Amino acid sequence: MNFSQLILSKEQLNTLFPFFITINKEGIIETIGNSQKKLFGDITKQFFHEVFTLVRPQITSFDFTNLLSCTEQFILLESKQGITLNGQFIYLKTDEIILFIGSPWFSSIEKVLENNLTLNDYALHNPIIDLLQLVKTHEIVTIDLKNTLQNLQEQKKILERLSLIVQETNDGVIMMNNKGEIEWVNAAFEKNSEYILTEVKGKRLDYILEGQETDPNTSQYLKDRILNAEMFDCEILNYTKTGNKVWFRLKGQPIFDHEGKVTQIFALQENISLRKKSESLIAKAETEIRNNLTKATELNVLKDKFIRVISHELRTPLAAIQSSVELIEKKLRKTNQENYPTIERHFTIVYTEIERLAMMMKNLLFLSYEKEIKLNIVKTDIEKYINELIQNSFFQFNLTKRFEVVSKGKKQLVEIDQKLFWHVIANLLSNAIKYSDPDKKIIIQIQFTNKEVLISVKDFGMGIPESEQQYLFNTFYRATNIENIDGNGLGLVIIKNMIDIHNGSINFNSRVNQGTEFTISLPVYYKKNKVQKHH
Amino acid sequence: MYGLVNKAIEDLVIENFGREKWEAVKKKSGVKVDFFVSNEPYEDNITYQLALAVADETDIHIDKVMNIFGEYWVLKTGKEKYGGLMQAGGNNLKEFIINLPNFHNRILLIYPKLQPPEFKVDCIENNSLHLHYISQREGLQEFVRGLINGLGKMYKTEVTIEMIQSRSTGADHEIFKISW
Repeated sequence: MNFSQLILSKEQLNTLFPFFITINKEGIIETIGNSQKKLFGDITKQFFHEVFTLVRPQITSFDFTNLLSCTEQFILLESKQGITLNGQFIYLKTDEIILFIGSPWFSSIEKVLENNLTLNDYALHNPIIDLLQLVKTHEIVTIDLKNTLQNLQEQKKILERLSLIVQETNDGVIMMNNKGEIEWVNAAFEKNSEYILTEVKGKRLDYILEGQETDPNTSQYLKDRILNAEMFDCEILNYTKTGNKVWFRLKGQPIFDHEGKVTQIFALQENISLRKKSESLIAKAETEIRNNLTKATELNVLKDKFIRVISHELRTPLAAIQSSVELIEKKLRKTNQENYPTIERHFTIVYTEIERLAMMMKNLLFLSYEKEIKLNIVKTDIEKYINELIQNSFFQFNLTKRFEVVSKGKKQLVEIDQKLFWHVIANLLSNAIKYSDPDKKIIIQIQFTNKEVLISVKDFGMGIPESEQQYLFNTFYRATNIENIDGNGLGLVIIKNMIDIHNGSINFNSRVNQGTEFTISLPVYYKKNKVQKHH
Repeated sequence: MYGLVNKAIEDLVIENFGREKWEAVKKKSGVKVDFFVSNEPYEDNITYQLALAVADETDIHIDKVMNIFGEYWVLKTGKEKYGGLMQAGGNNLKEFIINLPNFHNRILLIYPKLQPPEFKVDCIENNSLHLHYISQREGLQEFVRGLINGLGKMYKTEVTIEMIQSRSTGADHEIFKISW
């Protein structure tokens, strides 16, 4: 090819070098490429040195001859706006002009955009665009690497923490291969088993830890699970290196790779020797308690039988004593009218004591039969029931006047066994009379709530010493301040038992010399199953 | 394909379904790579396995997954990571698509091991053009459709895409008629 024939039109020059500049002999810019115009505006007819500074190579004066001396050098220009251009000068002898071929240099694609340029403004062959893309790619890769590094650091921290936990935990940690051969153990395993890692590496757990008293079923279970790569959880008796027995709970599971193949088996070894020891002690104690309970139940049955027999046996002679004493009294009253008043007092004592004995036997019989009671539950108007009880049982000595019955809330019929409940209320009222002055009122309050009724009996009597209140419902217990008043210490026990049978509860508040208030809480509807459970 | 493609799938899943889902996708795909590096080449299979696992895990048809991924590539990955370059690609949708063949061919300089598809543009009208898609890979047509949709959204231009030629009907490459 003859290059002297290679002539480019201005349009072709513009396509190949859209940032070209021609400078005439006077140093004036004659023509510029389209992209150059887009970047700087129309800078033709201006002195080249007024628009651009020649950064490299440096020349003393900006004349045509000096510019010509730079044609074989790399040219670095800077515009007044601070935009750098790189390229080269060519002298076109025929036209006596210097041609600048090059392009603006930007360090990032964003700078290109800032200067209102797009990829279309560059010649297709211009590698600057590729260079900018390469820079961008490196930026992205650097960000990727930074993120990856950060991820790795976070994972490293997690691993460090996990490793610390594994090392410092009190539980043994065992890593085995898929054949169940030990690959690694932690310090706790070494402490538990008295073996060090090098001694157990490559060996199976059963080979080093199991012994004569190890349960063969558990041993087989463990082997099967490990070899079949299944989860396991068992308690096993092992032996340390020095032959000490130690109980372990072994929990483990296989670790799978991405293809689902077992790579390792991981196991935790918890020393449960102490627990096993406690369990054995507890089991022993439980057996002892169970035996004692059986004995106590047997004794209780015997006691109930004994009480029944004694009570029945005593009842007849007591009745005979009572009728004989009554006969003697009648005779004496007739035959010895003069002296009778002096001995009447003794008869009163005898009657009171007979009555006390009879009551005691009655109570004892109730307690012995309590478990066999068959209830006869009836819907009852409690207020009416209590008023009738007062009228029938306390008509002597004007006692009825001492009671004041108050009812609150929406009245409901309450399901009770009327015979049993008679004892409860009669006993409480009788106690209130016994332990308070004759001129003091006794207030009975009946309060209905949604599903229960509260019945309280309040006296203003001597009260119960605080230190003795906790023993109040104990069999045969009597407070120290009522030793001179008749009673056998069974009344409240029976009351409580009867209320229990009705699925209710009883509480009290008492202050010495101020009085006592007993409150019974009773469900309005009686539930049979609860009683059965109770019994 | 280069890691940047797989990384974009990872970002898409994490952004829309959370990291746990991504772990499930990775597990299901059987891909063992922990971190994708953008300019590292990976087996094509990895990308396909990931896309299939995403479809399976999210119960979305694979074509739809590829379409969503194409859009995501332009609007998120492209815009966030290659922001300037994307903007420099043209002042409007038409200009960008016309530049696409050149732009895409240059990628070979940056990613020498990449086998990028080749694009050609013809039948350029005021409101439409034909985009030829020539690729050795099968099954990425919906991804290309997603990319064009994404570009339409990037330039806030409503586009309709019609596949007027396809390998599935015996042709040697796909032609999309893009109208706006």
